[in-house]
Amino acid sequence: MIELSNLSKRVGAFSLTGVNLKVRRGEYLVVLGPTGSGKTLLLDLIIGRLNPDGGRILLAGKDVTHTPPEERNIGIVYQECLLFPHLSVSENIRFGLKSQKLPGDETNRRFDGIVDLLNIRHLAGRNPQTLSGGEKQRVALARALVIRPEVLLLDETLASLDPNTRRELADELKLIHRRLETTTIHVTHNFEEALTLADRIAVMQQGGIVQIGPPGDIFRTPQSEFVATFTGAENLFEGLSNVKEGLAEISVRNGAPEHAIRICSATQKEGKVWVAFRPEDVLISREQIKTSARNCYRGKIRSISDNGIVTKVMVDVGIPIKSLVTRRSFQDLSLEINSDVYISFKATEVHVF
Amino acid sequence: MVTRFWNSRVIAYSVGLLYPALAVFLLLAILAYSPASLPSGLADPEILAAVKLSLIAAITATIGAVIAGTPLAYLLARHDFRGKMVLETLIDLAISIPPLVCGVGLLLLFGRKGWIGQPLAALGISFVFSLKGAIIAQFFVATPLFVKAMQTAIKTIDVRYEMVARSLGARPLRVFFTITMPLSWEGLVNGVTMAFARGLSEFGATLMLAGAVSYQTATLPVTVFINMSTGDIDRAIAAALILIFVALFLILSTRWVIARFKRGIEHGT
Repeated sequence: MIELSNLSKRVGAFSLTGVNLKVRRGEYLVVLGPTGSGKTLLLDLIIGRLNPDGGRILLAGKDVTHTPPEERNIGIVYQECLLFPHLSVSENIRFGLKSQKLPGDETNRRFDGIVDLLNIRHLAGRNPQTLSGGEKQRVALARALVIRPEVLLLDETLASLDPNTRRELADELKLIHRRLETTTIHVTHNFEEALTLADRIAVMQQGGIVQIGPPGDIFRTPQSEFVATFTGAENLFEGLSNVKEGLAEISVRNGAPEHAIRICSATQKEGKVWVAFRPEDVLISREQIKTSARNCYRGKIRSISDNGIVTKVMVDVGIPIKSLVTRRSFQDLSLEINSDVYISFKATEVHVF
Repeated sequence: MVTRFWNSRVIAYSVGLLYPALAVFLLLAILAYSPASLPSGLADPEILAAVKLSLIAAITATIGAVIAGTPLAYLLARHDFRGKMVLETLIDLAISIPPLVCGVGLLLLFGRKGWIGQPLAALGISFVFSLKGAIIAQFFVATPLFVKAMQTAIKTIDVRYEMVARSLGARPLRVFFTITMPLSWEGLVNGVTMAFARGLSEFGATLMLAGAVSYQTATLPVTVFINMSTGDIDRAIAAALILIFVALFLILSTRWVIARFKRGIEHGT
């Protein structure tokens, strides 16, 4: 549907270098990256605010690299919504229809369709300044969707909303996407948002896409230290790997060689590697339990942080390993700083790259 | 400590009041002069002619400033390009040099042997010593002020509003008139007011290019000058008073318009 090939752009000291990206028709692609990774610059190029220094943008097979924005038929919703403050909600939504000079009955039909879909009919006569954050986002979405864009760009759309509204709107985005099947590129720095919404995630770092794939892949098998850290694989260590009998045994040390511990992984890769596993896959117990898990260690609890629903416990087993436990099991196990505990995790949950 | 601080404040504020006091006395001095002859002064045909000339020139010059200044303001506010500094310096220079000097330059340019004046003279058009000259002079002096006001106003509008509008299919000119212009209306009102006020009070450049011919080129400021130099102080004061009242009216109406529009936008009308 939309294809970026070898797209590059230099702005001051920052540059986007050779970005290749193919988004399929009807796909919901999330571009995930920290502030300053080039997400916004990417949007600027796709929407046509800036011209790339090199590369091409193909939209439905047509080269639009140098097509002016008004001829691209790409909708955009910015984080700040940017509803035209001098126009009413209804006039905002109708702006695109008017620009495209659609006949009156078609304009009304489209308007009715979109305000009903987004549940904003009651806001039509209001002034944008009087709307809540969530309402503004809905109106901005309606304004962009009513012109039936080939591609919808969402720029940190949910970032400035309170948690409840954010969840609500995220669910709604999903619903709307299922209903309209608009090809969507959603830019965010929030990994959870990406997990909830994306068909595929493209991770950006320093002006390039470093990994792209379905959310599960990004989550389970990060291909770089950056992706692992950014997606919350908090147990991340460097080690030396040896493959024996179909299992990799990675020696990870923190300081002296005698303190090295061996971690087993089902990923077969030799040599100097990174080991990553998620804290929610690490099981914690008071007694040594019989388990099929290949990786079992004894250690002392060094720190405990309560995150509300879950508690994060750091256990020193020679290297610091983090584990997430529910509030309930945390209390049942009566865990305290300096408690002696056992931790275990499966070789299949250890990702090596 | 408290008393000393208080004392220093009193001194500072007293110094600060020097200027307003001076301005008040200046107005009083003009107002107090010969109020008896004022009604006849205001009805004087020479004064009425000057009012008419002044309004025609200032209004035309302001319209010119808006037409020529708006694209320039947009260009300077929205784009970075080679030579932008040169353009900005030119505008600042036009504001900084004495209007009298502008007048000299304009006279050389528009005079019978000037680069612009000569070809125009061949077509039978002459700007020198005519109302057209006064309009050109005021246009030249007023436009930079309008550009500055408009440029600042456009700069404060998030360029992404324009981006959104274009993504919705609006061509740049439609975006300008339906989005940029309405969002920068405060700058527009300020710019128009400043340009008009500057044009109305323009003296030096007008004198140079249009001359000081009563009933023909003598705008209100020029009329003040002519009558002061011939000793007809009553008439000079009458013209001066009109200028003061027009300025006051302009300031108050601008303020009123801006306040009203602001309330309108906040309350969604």
